[in-house]
Amino acid sequence: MRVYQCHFCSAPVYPLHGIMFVRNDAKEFRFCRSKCHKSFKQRRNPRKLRWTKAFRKAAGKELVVDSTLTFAARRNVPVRYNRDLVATTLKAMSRIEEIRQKRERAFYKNRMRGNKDKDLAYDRKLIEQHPELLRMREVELRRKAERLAAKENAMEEEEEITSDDMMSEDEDMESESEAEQVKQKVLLKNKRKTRA
Amino acid sequence: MGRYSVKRYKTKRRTRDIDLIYDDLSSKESIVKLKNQPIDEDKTGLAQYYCIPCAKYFENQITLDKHTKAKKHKRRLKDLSVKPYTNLEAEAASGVNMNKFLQSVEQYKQLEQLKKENNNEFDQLINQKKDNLDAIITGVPSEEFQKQQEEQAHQKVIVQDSEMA
Repeated sequence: MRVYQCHFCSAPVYPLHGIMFVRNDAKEFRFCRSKCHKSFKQRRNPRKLRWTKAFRKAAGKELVVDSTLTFAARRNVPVRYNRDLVATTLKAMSRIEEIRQKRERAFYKNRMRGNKDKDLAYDRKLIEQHPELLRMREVELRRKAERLAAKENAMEEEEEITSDDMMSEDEDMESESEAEQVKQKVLLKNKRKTRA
Repeated sequence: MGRYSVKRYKTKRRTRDIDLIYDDLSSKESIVKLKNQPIDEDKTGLAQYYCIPCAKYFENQITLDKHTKAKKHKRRLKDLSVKPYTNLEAEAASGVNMNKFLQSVEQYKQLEQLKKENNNEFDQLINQKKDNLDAIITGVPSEEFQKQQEEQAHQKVIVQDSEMA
């Protein structure tokens, strides 16, 4: 049994999984799923798609040159079965994997190292350019108060209109500007009433 | 996506892959062979006007010249300007056959260096012009073609003179 690598995303392709394309020069292309196969048929470049391993390696997102990565290889030299050799190999495999994971972790940490400072610097710059962001709460409160005041005004106006209708029908004939003036007067009166 | 069409991507209509084209373009022998193919009645333009980067046959020299100025051809040249993606890279990305992949990268760099050094020769071979089909079949070069050749030779002389001076 051999576990192949997907030609497109480098994921392991186990037996009975995925699909294989054989080109007319007898080159094999194995794909882990239809997504990869379709992308291949569309002639996409795996190096330019962010979800492939090839992109991550080419763009420096992952560890590329490392001694732990050089062990897994097809050697094309037959080796006679040897129980001790198998035992040591298995032992070495787990140990190498351990080391690789550690290095991978260290690489990731190193890659992310400057990010906090960078983010902080970016935020500082943003606040410098938009100082009102710092007083956001004040602005919110002010806007809320304004909204409330506007609502109250509207309520009062409605009341006035109804009272106006009751008072006289002649006013309807008057021009809008005059009506507004009257409204303002009534408003003032109402306010005075409330104060008193 | 405007360019997407399922029919185009059927394996039946699969055209030559970019890594093979890269191989085609990386040795003088293969370029000469592809540019001077034997007359084939089944192919467009009797297989005489071939664009190697696009793996395409053309009717005559005029259409081939037009094609080399077009967007598709230029896009293809851009694709060919980087190392072609192969299965080796996919394997190396998951940590298998890493050394082999690194070797192939070295080879690629050497090849590119060689190409750069012999840039003029390669360009000449790739961009060589051909006579019309009548002339090719009869073996008698047409007058227009002779004129063009003479002009080109003349220009070359001028360029050489200017370089000398």
